[in-house]
Amino acid sequence: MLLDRPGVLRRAAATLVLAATLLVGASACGDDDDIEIAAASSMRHVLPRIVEEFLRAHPDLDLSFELRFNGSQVLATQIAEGASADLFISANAVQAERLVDEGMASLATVVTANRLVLAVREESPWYSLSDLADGGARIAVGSPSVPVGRLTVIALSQLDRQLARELLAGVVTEDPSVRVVLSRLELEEADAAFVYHSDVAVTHGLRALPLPPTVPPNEYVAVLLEDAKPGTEEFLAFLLTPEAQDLFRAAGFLRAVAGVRAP
Amino acid sequence: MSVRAAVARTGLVAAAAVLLLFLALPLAGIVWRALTDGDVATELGSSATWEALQLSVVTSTLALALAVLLGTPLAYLLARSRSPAARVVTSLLDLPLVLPPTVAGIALLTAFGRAGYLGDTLDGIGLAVSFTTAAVVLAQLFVSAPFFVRAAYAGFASMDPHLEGVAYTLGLSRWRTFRSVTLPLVWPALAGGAVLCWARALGELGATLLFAGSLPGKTQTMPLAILAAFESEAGLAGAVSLSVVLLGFAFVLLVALHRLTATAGPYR
Repeated sequence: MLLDRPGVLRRAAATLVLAATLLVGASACGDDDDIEIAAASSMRHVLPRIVEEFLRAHPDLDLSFELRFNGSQVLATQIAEGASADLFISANAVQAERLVDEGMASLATVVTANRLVLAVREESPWYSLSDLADGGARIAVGSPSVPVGRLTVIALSQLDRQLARELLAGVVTEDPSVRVVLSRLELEEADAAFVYHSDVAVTHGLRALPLPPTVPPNEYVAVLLEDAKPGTEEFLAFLLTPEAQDLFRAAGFLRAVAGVRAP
Repeated sequence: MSVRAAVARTGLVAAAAVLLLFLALPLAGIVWRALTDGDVATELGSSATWEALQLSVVTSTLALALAVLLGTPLAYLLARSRSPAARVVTSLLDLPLVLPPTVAGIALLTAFGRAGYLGDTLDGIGLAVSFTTAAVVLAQLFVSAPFFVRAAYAGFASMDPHLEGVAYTLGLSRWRTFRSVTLPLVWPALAGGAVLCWARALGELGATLLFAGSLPGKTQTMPLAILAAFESEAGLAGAVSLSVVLLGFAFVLLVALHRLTATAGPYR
């Protein structure tokens, strides 16, 4: 009989194991009914709390969420290349608005903002920008091609020129994301880093040196993607309620000021 | 040809074609995307591109040189040793390959970084490496050297050591034996390992970013420049254009290396 051959049995078993693995893998990919939110990495701490608050405020709605965090550029590329998402919250307004321009999304809304700060470790001897410049500190910044780096360029241009030059001389790296910039402080490879206020708020052992108040904040823009599932628009509206804005503030973000952007 | 042989051959070709297509299609895709969406000509004309490319070539070549210089003795000793310790070391050689590159970068920092356990010592003798071009080379060496050592080890281990014994009895010195008996036999293995090692060093990204940072002209190699372009407004179009420049450049170098090692190898 065919089944008498041990090789056949072993192969059948292997096929079963493979099929089971695939099935488990497929089912682990979440429910199809989940509202999928793709959000900038810096939202990692605050967004789950806001979703919780939203579900508490709307016990009548039978909704569930799947949150995905990554660099805004990575998320925007994935969405433009066909990855499914219902709501995209971008730390880079340009990328969100590009999706709107291409007809893939609508309702570009400023939901919160983040202030640029110069972060140092709590125990460091520096309390002002000129302390840092005099001390020959090693400074990590974001690449001018990403929002945090662009804001850093603006901030430096608003400082005293001599001070800005001294700070620039201490720059040891132009990193591709604010997460990497922050890691320089965590790993103690740099003495100071230009990051967002919300980063300092969620990281232990850091404090922020103030920058000129004229440095503009970085705005977070949410867009509703084509064929978003029911409930997504309600959640987007909820982001602008005082409840959600209080949570943003508690996490170190600023209140949204602009609201809906003109298309 | 019998039916059986024909079936076997068809299976062989089909399997080979599946893998070849799987490897080739994404490469073709990125070239196509760069030619339609991107602007390869502009990137080729930009001095920033050449700066990154030059840094990549210099650092990866240095990493390869260090891997060959230090890795050949290591592979030789491991392959000739019969001690259990050598066997343990040999199996540990692959560990740097298992680490995700970002973790490899953090690992390098924990040892050689400013806050690392050798940091103060290195600082004291003026050898602080993090955020320097030297750190780029070290990051590349860490992730690429195992490729060379592993291949060289396989070469030395597959060679019959009695041949060296015979050379000694014929009065050849150790160095002369290595040069005229051992090296010609293991040359293909060394050359193959060197190509793999160099290619891995050229593509290195994660460990370099963490350990060396990303500063144009100093530590921003081509892969880091591609990452920076990807995160910028130029986004995907800029990143694929730069990638195609790197691919084209690597292709030319790889073909040259293969020809060099195949024909100009000193022992053919």
